[in-house]
Amino acid sequence: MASTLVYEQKPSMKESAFSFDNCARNMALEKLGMSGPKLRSTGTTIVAVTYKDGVVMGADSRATAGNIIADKHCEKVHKLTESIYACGAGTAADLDQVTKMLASNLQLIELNTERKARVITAVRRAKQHLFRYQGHVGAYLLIGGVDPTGPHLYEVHAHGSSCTFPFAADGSGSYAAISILERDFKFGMTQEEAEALTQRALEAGMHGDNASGNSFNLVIITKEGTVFKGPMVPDFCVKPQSNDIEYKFKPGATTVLKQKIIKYEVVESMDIE
Amino acid sequence: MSIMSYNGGTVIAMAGKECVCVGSDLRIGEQMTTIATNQKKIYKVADKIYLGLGGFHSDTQTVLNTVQFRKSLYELRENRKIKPKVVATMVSNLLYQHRFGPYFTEPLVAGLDPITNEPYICGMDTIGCIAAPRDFVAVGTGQEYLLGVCEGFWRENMGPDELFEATSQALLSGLERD
Repeated sequence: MASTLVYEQKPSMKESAFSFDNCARNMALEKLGMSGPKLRSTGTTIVAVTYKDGVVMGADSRATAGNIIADKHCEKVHKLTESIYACGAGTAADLDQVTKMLASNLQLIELNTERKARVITAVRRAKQHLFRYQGHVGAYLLIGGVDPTGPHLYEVHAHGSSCTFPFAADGSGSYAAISILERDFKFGMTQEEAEALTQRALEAGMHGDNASGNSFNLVIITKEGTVFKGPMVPDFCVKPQSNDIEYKFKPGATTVLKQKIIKYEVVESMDIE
Repeated sequence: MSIMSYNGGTVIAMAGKECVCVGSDLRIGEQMTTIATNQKKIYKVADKIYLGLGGFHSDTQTVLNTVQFRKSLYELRENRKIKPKVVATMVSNLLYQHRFGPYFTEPLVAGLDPITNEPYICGMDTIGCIAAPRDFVAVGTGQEYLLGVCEGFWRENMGPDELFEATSQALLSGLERD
């Protein structure tokens, strides 16, 4: 009697590239009462405003993990192409990875089609990716830029919906920011007015929301080019009092029980032309 | 009970002038019981790059072994020494690959560029979001306590001896409360 061993070919790299190996174990742990870790979210106030010649986008720079600030100078204004930028709110790791993916895809599109990528392309790629994961990839993006058809601004939500706006705000600080935008926005603004409006909206969000703050970054995108401004620190975010006392420890203050010194091997290399 | 505090453990890294200092506590436990007091949480990845791993111990071992394996492959394929930023991206991508079934470990990468000796430190959450400040990072159960203490002790451009004192005093003070 011959017993046949059947080997099932494990698909090595599925198209999704997410690995679900640990899921069974993690679910079992949760049943045992072990709560999972808190993910770093960007808290955030992100704001974008379109004006006569282009788009102004801005974001604060605080990343929170539960109640503590995990990163004081986090980059939330991500470059997708020279003239398309995305501001992100939501789960920090998801945002980093989604924007990296969008940037590489757009670069490939630009190389393949020999044309500048359009904002709507970025939006569609983002939507299709996010809808596939039914909102579990927590990325809320404001995608804005200038392409051959003009300046555009879109808001993409984690579940895969998108909408176009003349101005938008997202994140936990958006409630404060959007009220400033609703009050002061008008069509056909100049660059200075648009910049000032974005700055005021960001400051309102950073002031009122405890998950936004520290400093903010602005990017101004026009047909002629892109200007990145930042980090800018509003008055209420400056540390009120700098440390008066400098903590200087005497060398030898800490008792050393064991010490091991490892010297590196320095390898001289020669360029042979 | 949180899975991240099952074994316990804290790692801290501070950057100075052309130097970095990494420190960790030495306790490993099973919930409230302490199993050993000589378990360090910092591992050498390359000559000048160290990986600190806080969180669930078995996942830290898995991540460590995978990173060391991938780093060796990298150095063989590229025929050059790996940079700390690349190690960080490698770990981040490994963790993000398991976004929906994460490894319960919070890694910290600290090192010097193999050629320019520029310091690089970064901390990550369990799904690989990199935060690379210029001053200090802390991960693990004592993260909150350490971040506060480091804000006070860190200064710009510290030399190796000063940096050692600052890091160890921060660790000693912060761990009094964890």
